[in-house]
Amino acid sequence: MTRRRRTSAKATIHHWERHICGDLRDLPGVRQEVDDLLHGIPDLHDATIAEILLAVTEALTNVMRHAAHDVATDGIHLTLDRTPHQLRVVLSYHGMPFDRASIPEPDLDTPRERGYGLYIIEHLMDEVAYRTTASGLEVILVKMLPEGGEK
Amino acid sequence: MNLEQESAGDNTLIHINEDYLDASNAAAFKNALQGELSGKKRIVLDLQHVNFIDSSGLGALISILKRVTGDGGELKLYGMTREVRALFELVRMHRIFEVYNSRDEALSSFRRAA
Repeated sequence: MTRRRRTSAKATIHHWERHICGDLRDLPGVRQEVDDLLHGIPDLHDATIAEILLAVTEALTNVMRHAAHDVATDGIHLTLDRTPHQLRVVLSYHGMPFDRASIPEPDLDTPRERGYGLYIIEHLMDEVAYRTTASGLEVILVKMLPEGGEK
Repeated sequence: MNLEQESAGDNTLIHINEDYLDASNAAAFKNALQGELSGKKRIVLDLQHVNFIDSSGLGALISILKRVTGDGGELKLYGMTREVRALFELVRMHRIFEVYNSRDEALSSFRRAA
């Protein structure tokens, strides 16, 4: 395995954005695009990439399933921003406001077919926020990028 | 949905030839797999071609597990990628499912139990 030093390219802010429709069938294609993007980040661990892909998939699925008809018509705006220390993913959409406190934690000793999405997101990402803004709703996912990590 | 069924004595192996199980295909996967498993009691699912599973795919597997065990059968898994294994461990489903590293280990676990 080639071991590389963290490069200076990581110090540059990178921005990517895409508007996607609110159809679950689009998930694999969006995930592949994000996967390609993340693999372009120097020295990002494969395990970290997998965690981000899973969290983004869960967040998109939640919005598509639960944010009601506005997402189906308006879609979701997905942005990724990378700074030297973090990767920030934002899902912007119109729809039903989301009350995180109303969603219980899953009982991991009792398997159920649903209810793991938020748990997964919040355990894989370093910061998760659900915001209502003047222009709509946002889900914000942040992954800190460790210093000195090697692939 | 690309599922391939193989008989190994009294056991049934299902090779899941899909790259991912997520919300886009979890319902189709569950329906297709339930059709494959009709009347089967000793089942092994081969996950080695599945590179990505999310909570929807996991939910489909949990549904299948409940159905199989509810009918008095057994369900075992093998061939998990590192990423899929990480998901199972995160939500502790590695304690609920019987997970093996190889096909032979999964099949021989039936023999040990018999």
